[in-house]
Amino acid sequence: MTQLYNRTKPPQWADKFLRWYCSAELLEEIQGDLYEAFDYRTKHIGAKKARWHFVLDVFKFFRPYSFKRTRVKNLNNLAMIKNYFKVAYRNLRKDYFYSSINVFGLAIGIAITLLIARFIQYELSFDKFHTNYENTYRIIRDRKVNDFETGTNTASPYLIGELAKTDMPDVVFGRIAPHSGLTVAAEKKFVENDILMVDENIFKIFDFEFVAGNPANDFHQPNLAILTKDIATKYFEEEDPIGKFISVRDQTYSVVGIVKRMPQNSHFHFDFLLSFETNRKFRSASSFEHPGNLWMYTYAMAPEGFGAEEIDYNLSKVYEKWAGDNPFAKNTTYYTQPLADIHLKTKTDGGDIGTNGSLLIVQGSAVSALIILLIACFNFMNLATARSTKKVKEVSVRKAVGAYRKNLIVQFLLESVLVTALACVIAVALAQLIAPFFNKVLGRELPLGFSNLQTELFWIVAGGAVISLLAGSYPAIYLSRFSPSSLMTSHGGKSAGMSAAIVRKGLVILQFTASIILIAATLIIYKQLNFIQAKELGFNKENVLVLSITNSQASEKKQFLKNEISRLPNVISTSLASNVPGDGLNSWRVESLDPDKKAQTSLHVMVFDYDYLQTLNLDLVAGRNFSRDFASDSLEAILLNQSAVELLGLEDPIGAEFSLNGQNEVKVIGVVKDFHSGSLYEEINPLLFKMEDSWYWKVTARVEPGNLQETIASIEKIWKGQVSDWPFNISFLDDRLARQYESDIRLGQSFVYFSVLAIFIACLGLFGLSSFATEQRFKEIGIRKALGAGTGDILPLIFKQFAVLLLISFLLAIPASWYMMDTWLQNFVFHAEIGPMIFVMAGILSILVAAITIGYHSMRAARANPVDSLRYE
Amino acid sequence: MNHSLGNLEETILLLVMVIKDEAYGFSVVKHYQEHTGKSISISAVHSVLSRLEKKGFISSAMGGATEERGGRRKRIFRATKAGVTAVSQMKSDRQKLWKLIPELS
Repeated sequence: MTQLYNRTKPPQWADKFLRWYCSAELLEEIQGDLYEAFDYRTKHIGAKKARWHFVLDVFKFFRPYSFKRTRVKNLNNLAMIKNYFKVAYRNLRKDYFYSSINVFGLAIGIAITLLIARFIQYELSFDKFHTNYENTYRIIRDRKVNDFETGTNTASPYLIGELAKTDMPDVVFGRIAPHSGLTVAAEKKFVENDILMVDENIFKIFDFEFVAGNPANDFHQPNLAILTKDIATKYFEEEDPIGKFISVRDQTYSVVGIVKRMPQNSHFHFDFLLSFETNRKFRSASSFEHPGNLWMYTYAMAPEGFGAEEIDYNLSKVYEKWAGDNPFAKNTTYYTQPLADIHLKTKTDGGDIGTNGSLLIVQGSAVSALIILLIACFNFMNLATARSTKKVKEVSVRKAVGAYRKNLIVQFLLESVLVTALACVIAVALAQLIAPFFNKVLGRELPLGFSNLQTELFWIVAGGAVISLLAGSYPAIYLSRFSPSSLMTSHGGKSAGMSAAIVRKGLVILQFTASIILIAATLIIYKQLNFIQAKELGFNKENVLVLSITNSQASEKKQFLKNEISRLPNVISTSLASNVPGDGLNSWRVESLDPDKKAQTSLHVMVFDYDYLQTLNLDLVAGRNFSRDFASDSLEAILLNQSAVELLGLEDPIGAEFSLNGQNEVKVIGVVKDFHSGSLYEEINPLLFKMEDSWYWKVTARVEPGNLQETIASIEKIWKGQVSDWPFNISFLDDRLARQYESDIRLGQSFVYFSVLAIFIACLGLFGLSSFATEQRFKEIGIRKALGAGTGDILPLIFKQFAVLLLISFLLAIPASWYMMDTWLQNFVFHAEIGPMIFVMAGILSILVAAITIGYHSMRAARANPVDSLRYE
Repeated sequence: MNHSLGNLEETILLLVMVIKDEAYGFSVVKHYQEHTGKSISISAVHSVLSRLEKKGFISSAMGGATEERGGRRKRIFRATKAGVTAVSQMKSDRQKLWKLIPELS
């Protein structure tokens, strides 16, 4: 049967192919000839060969001669294009409701994209203004203690640079050390914070713009200063500062140059540059020898052809030689970080030379911008095709008069270009308007207006073109498809309308899926932030003040400061410590003195005095705290936390004896309950606690809630009385802890706005669509009402159409947002569970908003007097 | 436009004149094979025919449909006056040349 079928007919696929490419005018004769030839050949040379020849012939016809084409040349192009503009303009005006939804939605989308593009461009531009940025690196280090990543230090000790210098003579190494303190010049006194001490190589590595003097080559000498213009005016006013003297922390520097400030997009900023060599005059010898003394940033500029891997390799060898057999050396790796990566890719808990950006926010906002823009584009497509019934007439008449599909496509594209252009203009104005607000949300001081007019205009025009193509091509192709006869036969138009309706539904689903994802993401971020806020940390972070005493003058008076502060009326308890929770920690080598256990390991160390446990409300689970009753406690006693006890495998920790760093012999006197000394990104670290007078860098004070400003003011008074030369640096413990999650908090804040915008634009589209849907069913509703249906019967009619779409988007959004946010949550070792409530809330929220949107038109239609819709006709 | 006649064009124009009222794509193919003994593809014939039509040597009209063509109509070609003139011109040109050849053994 099949054989017979095959025999009598040429291969269908080849025939189909012919029909596809062959122009309509030629198809009949060509196909006729081919069929006839097939028939003839079947009789003469057999079916098999005939079929083969048929296929061959079809392919032989596949050439320009037989291709589809429109042969008529449009001679009156200009007039037609004018007409297109006119008609496009009229269409926009006639349907001003839909047009304004389109233009407004697109404008918001474009404005947000524009702002985010500026932001991203700015974030990516960091440090790229230096001529040699591509081969410039910073030397940083990673440390690991007992498989606990103790994080990355971006600061480095003096010697690593010194050793690397001799090992790699071709590479230029430079150092920057932050400095601060009381500055005196021309009888003016200020405490300055933004001072950098730099060596002469820094001027080779980075680009500085000198306004006066060019002392870069002299900077290997001590006691030289370069000022910025503002600082020069601040101290010397109108006088020429060159040759004048300025003293910082009792060191006198002679001013040899004036330099411009670093641009905003630099990872370091300064008011003063002092020569690095001066450090030798006031820093101890150990500052230049001890590997743990990280007080500078080391930069390396490699010559052409000297890769980062090569530097990394040499660094590891240099370090190996330096560290020798020291088991700790194995914990530390020095390596290079490309200059351009510093701003977005630095991961450190130890602070940095400046404030860095967050890659997370850059990525999150880029994705959001794309989503918002796409939602706006979908609006355009949907509203254009939804109104196709109106367009059918126009298309039919144009085609009947002789327009080709090509012409119509051009016309519709022009319409979308017009809308997009209008939207672009509004968007630029809108962007200027909301830029200050936007900057606040993203925590950036972006320059208002165009950073580079030409490039930005180019991108706006190019982006506009892409958007108008993206949004306009589907409606153009779809609308131009109508044949003139579809105007007469209801059937033709309807079936074409069906396929568009499916696409429209698909787009609405996508819009709402994206919106719900953004909403769910926002909710999850906030759930995690709340989780962080509420998480039981093992200590009481509220109402604890932390006063930094990281200078020699204050350090000498720390006991006095502590006593004075503890005497203030609102202060409950004070203590001295090396660190508070949230700080990076040092580690010590710990060896068991028990001859049966030759355990050796490293532990993180927190140094504090008798009152620390009480001040932070830390709990003891065994043994006792450091006590003034035991004189030996200050030297020979240590506490451990539970994790450390577990790590060391101590069954009976109290009384266990260890040596620290191969020197002090100590005894465990108590066990502290585990608490989060780091962030919730990490596991709880095993910790060792000891008293050590020279390690106290902080005064912590638990104060009564209320009257906080007063308390701080009294503490400042004490400080000013004792330590006049140094900046007063006090903070709240809970603020310090919150700062660890700054980029997450900012991500949450920006996502609130992004998701609101996304759902708003999506609802704009829905608003238009529902208006259209009710308009279409106006008569139906009228008849239903005339027959006795009430408002309550009519409303579900309209809602049902959209409810299904929303439900599908909701179902699609759940796995998508779950996956997305689970990835983010994995950053935290301790994190909230996503849980079904989030999705229920996101779903309810979006469906509620959508329902209100649809409700407006539905109510109007349901309430309308049937007479209005049925009167004429 | 180039109004000269190529070799294949001339042959096919002559065939159209030979077949007279039944000259369409596939019949030309069949006659070509019959008279010259060489085979030719349908598509080649089609493009030559359309070229001839463009040059004004033949004209066409849609003719009747047949069963074996699956109900599709034929495009029937007819030599125009210009076509007849062109081939006869060519013939006489050639004959003149032939006469000029002294002898052909």
